[in-house]
Parts: sequence; C-alpha cells; structure tokens
Amino acid sequence: MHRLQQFVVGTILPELERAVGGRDSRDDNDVSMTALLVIEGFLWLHLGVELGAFPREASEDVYSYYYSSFFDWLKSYSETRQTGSTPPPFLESSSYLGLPTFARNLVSIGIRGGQPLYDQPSGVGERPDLVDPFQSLMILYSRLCRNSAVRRFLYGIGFQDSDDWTIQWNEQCTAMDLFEAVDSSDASPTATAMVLAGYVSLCEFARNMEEVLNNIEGLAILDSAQLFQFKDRIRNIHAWRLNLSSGVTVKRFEQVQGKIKKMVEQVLRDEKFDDEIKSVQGLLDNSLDLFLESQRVTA
Amino acid sequence: MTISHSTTETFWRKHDLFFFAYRSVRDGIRTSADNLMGFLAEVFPSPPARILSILGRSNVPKSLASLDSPRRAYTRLVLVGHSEGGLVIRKAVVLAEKQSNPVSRARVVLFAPAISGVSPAGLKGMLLKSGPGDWIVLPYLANSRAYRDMTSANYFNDVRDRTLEAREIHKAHSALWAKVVFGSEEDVVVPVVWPEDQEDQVTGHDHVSICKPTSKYDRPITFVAEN
Repeated sequence: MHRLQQFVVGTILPELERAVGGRDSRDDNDVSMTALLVIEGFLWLHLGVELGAFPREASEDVYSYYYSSFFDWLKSYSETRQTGSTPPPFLESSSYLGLPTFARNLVSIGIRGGQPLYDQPSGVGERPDLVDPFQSLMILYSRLCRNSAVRRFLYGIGFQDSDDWTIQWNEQCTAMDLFEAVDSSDASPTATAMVLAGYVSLCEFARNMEEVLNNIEGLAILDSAQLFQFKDRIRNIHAWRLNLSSGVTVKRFEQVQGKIKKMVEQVLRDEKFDDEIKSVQGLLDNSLDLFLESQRVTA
Repeated sequence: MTISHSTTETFWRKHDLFFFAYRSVRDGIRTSADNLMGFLAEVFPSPPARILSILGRSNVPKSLASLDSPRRAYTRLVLVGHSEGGLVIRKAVVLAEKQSNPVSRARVVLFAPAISGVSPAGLKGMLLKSGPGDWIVLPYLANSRAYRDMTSANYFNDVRDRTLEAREIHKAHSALWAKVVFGSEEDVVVPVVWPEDQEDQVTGHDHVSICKPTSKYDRPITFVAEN
C-alpha cells in the first residue's frame, strides 16, 4: 500500500470517524480534543505534501473528500456557541489557541472553504531524500494515534472537567496496574493507570521521534536553517498535546509526572538500583522535551 | 560507505518490509514463535489484497486508488531478528520443520540474538538506560515467560539441538543456518553463535545500537541486503 493510502486508512479515517461519529452524545471537551487530533493529522498531510512524500493530486483529493467536510462541520460546531459563553466556541478555546499560528492560519483557510495544502509551508520544500525518514516518522505517528492510553492521558490533563479529574485521579494505582496498562491492551485498567500509561507511551514516542530527527541531522541532507525549520515544524505539530499556556494542564501534567517519579523510585529501590535513581529521574524530566521545547522558547 | 538515497529507492522498489510485533514480556518464546508463523503464513508468498490495496473501502477518490501496489508473489523471504526476536525466529524455524513450510527456505539474519543466554545484570542495565516503559518492567522480569525461556539453558539448548538435528536431514533448508552479528560492547546476551552459523562482530556497538542504522553506520542494512 502506498504511504499516503496507509496514512489515510490507518490514521486519517479513524480520527475523522471518531470526530464525526457519535459526536452528539459526547461532551464538548471530548469533541474539542478529537477535533485537535484531526487537525494534527491534517498538519502531517500538509507537511508530507510539501516534502513530496505524498503526491499532490491524490493529496488534494484526500483533502476535498475527507477534510473539507470536517472543516465545514468545525465551522458550524463553533458557531453554535456565542462568544463569551461557557465553554467558549471551539475556535476561541484555549486548547485551539494553543495551536501554533501557522496551524490556525491553515484551519482558517479550510473553514473559509479554501485549499490550505500549499499555504504556510515549513520552508524545507520538496525533498526526495527526506521521504524515507519522513515515512519512519509517519510509522511512529500512526502508532501513537492508535494508542488509547495516550488518548486517555491527553484527555485527562488537557480536557477533563475538574471534578471528574479529581475523582479519577484519587483512584488507587499500583506499579502492577501501570505495568498491566502499558503492556496489555486486553486488560481493563483503572482510569489513573490509563493516564499514567499514556504518559509512559508518549515518552516512548518522543524518544523514538528524537532518534529519527537526530538521524536526519546526521544524514546532513538539510542545511542548518532547513533542519531547524523541519524540527520546528514537527515539534509544533504536536505541541498542543502538552499545552503549557494552560495552568490546569501544567498542574495535572506535574501531578502525573510526580506520580510516575515516585513509582519509578520505588521500583528502583526494590530492585536495589538506588544509585541509578537520580540519573533515571533526570531522563524522566527530559523525556517529553519534543513537546515542550517550542513552547519554552515562547513561554 | 553510506547508502545513498537512490540506492535505497532501488532497494525498496524490489523489497517489502513487514514488522512483526510480539509481547516481549508477557508471552513465552513458543507463543511468539507460533504467532510469527501465523503472521508469515498470511503475508508470504502473497500478502492479502487488503494490505496492498485501498479498494474495497467506500468513497475512495480515484487518484488515491490509483496508488495501489501491484499484487505480490514473493520468491525470497529474509527473517531479521534482534535480541529476543532472534530466539523467537529460531524457535519458529524449528517448528516449521514439522511441516512443509516456506519458512524453511528463508534466510535468517540476527542482530545480538538471545540464542545462547542472557545476562540478567546486563539486561536490567539496558532497561535502566531506556525510558519509563522499560523501568516499570523491572519488578516483573523474573516472572516473565520470555525471560525465563531466554535464561534457561535447557530451553535455548533444546532449540539449538533441534536445529542441529534438522540440519542433518534438511541440508537445503537455509533457515536452519543464520548470519549473526554482535557488537563488541555486547553485555546483554551471551555473544555465542551456534555451530556453522556465520558470525560477524562490529566494533564500538552495543546491544541496542548494533541493529540501528544511522548516517554513519549502515551495517544493519547491508548485513540484511547483501547475498
């Protein structure tokens, strides 16, 4: 299957189905998060077209078949709420405004009925020699999209109502629960275990992405300016997942990270790895830099 | 030497790469080997149309459908494994000998395989250098079926002995012999090959880096691609 077909079947369509299917029965926060996941998928399509990894004609058709109706829906969904209402219209929500400017510009074009595929390029341009590494990034990204624990983590720290979060966060979660949640898709872990497992899986994704990005740097196929543009675009596509402009998200993120740290510390003590605790916790502190670096610059 | 973009383009026009995922902690080697056999039966020699074609799905634009890959009829199979995956492959090859199976004619290429035992301290050390997903495994390692298999001399020697016995009967079954490479810094598995395996060693690489191609290290690709 061609990489664009793979992307459509494995990532774009499932996200769109989640966004559009059963939306009436879901709360606004869930709809907002799913909309952002769809937009994130669109940003990958957009980057793939710029690099030449996705053929233009087929990508334009993918856009008009699948995305244009999503943007139409997004516009009407946002217009059903008045400015100043609670929660605010999606396009005025802090999670949407947490998207980088280029992404919001592209959404604006889509909502106005335009063709956003060629606007706001990263600046790297068409690069046949980047297609293979880009495909590696796509494989990692599609696995991330299929991970239900990551979705639960994102919802928990960025979108869940305070009362619900507090109740679920106070559930007991042992290291065994976490292990089960990470290791076994057929287990039925607690909500807290799923949130923590999502954090762990997101760290794994970030580590693998950084490894591919470092390899691209080592290939020396991009000059330093283009390399910066490329990495910056990748990081910005995902930055909404840990939106540091939201105090609520920062607080919950720290809660999750703090709990993981305690669990890991206990595990290391039990296994007689006391000397390793400091270095392991240092790794943990930096494990999500992929999502945070672009925000730290502007924060 | 570094493989150029045009070389990899040419390579991938003639080859497909399938990843087989298995539960490396929860499942034992036998279970993973059975699952691998099931997976191989599905994709070799002809993978099902749903893997190659987007047709059959509703509302697909023509230009997207036109990107469908042609049907495949593979003539060669190369099984590539790393660490635990190496033992899984060798177990699957032994299982394949019990029936007429195209797996027997595969080539086997193994990176730092756990075919002669595992160093518990080395394995734990490697997990510590990874991420939180690996750290939380530490307390459950001893009860892991795969870990018990990999650290049991009875288990991996049995797979080895069955392989050696099968070689006596099926000299044309290429999968019974493996190309094996270890890094000079290997400290997770016991770096010992089985008799008549083809062995290679790469200086300056450890258990993890041995199978990861980078801009300066393309041995993982050439090791698989050559022959």
